[in-house]
Amino acid sequence: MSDTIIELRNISKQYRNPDGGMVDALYPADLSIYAGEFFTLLGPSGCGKSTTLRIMAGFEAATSGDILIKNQSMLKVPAYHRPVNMVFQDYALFPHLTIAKNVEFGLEMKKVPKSEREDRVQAALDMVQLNGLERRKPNQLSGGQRQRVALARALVNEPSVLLLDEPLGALDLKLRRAMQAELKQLQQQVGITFVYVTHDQEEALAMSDRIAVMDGGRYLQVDTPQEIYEHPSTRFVADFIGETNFISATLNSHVADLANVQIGSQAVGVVYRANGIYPGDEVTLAIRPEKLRLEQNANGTELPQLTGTLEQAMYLGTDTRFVVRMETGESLVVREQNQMVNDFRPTIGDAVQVQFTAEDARILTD
Amino acid sequence: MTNNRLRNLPGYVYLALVLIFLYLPIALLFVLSFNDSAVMAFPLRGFTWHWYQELLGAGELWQATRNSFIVAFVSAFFATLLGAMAAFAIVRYRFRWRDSLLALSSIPLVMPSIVLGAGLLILFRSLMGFELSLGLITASHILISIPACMLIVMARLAGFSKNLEEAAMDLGATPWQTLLRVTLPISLPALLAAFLVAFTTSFDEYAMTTLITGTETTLPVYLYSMLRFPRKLPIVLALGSIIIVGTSVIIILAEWLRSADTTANKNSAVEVDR
Repeated sequence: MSDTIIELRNISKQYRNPDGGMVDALYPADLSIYAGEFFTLLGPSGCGKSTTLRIMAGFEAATSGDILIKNQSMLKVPAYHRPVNMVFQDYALFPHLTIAKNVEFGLEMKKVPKSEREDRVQAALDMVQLNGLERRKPNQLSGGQRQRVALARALVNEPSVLLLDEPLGALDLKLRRAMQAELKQLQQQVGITFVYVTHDQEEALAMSDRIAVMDGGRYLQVDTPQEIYEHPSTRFVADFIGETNFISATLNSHVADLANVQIGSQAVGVVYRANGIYPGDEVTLAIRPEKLRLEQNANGTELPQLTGTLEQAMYLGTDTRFVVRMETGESLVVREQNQMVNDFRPTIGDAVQVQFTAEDARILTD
Repeated sequence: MTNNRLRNLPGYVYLALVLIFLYLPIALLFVLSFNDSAVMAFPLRGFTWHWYQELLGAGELWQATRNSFIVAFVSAFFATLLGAMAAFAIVRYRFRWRDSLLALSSIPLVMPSIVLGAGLLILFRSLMGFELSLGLITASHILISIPACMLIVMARLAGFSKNLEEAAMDLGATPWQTLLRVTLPISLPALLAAFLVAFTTSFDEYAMTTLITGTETTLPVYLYSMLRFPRKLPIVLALGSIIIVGTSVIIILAEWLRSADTTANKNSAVEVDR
């Protein structure tokens, strides 16, 4: 996981608007993708993730900066000479060619000998479990099957990097979940670097080795799924990945790693390891719903806790989602697993304590 | 069931009337072309191949037919080529005068061809000083066929994802290979349909052609000039019958090609997932 396979150096992209103005699709930034990793570009539509992927594939030219694949500049290398292959969102299978011919296309372009081509096409179709459908046309396949053909067509070329542009976007939820697991397994099996574009944060968390969270043409945070979930760097990241409670607070003190913040009439201590915040600063406390616990009363604990009134309870099977209105007027979402015995089951309107550990709350300054 | 039929009766009557109105004149043409009389009137005088036999010996008429085929073929080829190129530009690229170009190139489609013919005559003779020839007729036919060709190819390209071309390049195809291996094969049905429409447009064109005809001319213009000789009229009917059959076959073929692909896409997706 140490060799860099794709390196973006100061890459930026500007588009010309129909009215003549310039729009920044990507702000200048560096990005390194390591050999063999499953790297995900995650963000809402228009965040620049597809643009980044298309610059890597060679379908778009960057406005500034350089892109290196295997330490070679790709600026003057056209898409058809780059050691990457792409899986398109709509699969882009050639409708006039059979499945076998679709998969063979890349090898034919590279003038691989006929006998070797046939073997490799067979192996690729075996890999995605589509053997037996060689003679079908794409329009005779289901969505999931087309998806596999698209994968086989790209992987048969043994690219250094496989680029995937929301490849599961067109599938229904159940098939999507199944394909996620399969894709992840396939990636580990072939050992090729995957660069995966998605707007689905659950998908990104489930599949990736590393994720770049993007918004408005910027890379907000590039890290492992766990780091991004547990230590979101900005409010956007915390909000986009999973569900988060944001609590307005004022900093009372910051001594060593422990910050004391004021929320309404209550003061709570949370861990904050960075610098740059000073007493009196307005900050935001971010905490995940599953890190919060409901208690009936303040039972003499050392843990930080907030007082509120239970406003809503939704039973969701594995867990229950509570909404607590704090005395400051802000509401908190609490998710508790439905365990069997001795669970505190408050009813709507009850006064409750919301507890958490100092480690689980994050202070965000943006 | 009978109730249903009764309710639909006005519909059936209407349909029958439309069909009669459309096809009776054509049917009459056929019938009279086999009638053993130079006078085109009922009652029929008996069956004859005579007019078809005389048609075989009509040299000038065959010359005009040959001219028509050449003009139609050449003009259809270039109209399809130019129309397809314009269609690609309009569908694929967003450029400055795109909408204006689209509107401008559609004008020949709605302009009365007699007006266009007059304009072309002035242009060719008075301004450029050309001798009227089959070449000029061909050029004029290209002009009137381009809009239809362009619109047919555009319709096909609209359903043709740009991703397909990108996918081809991603798989190592150069722009030329992409054109030959992906773009052309996929747009082939539309190109053929455009060609056939342009071919028949040229083959049938009279009003404009008659104005720019020199010494040699095409079939419709020649046929019209033959109407001055009543005794030869049945020969025209015989040729007319042959042309109608030929044109119908071409149009049916074009329609079949155009729809073959869309239906192939519709009866797709056998949902058998593993």
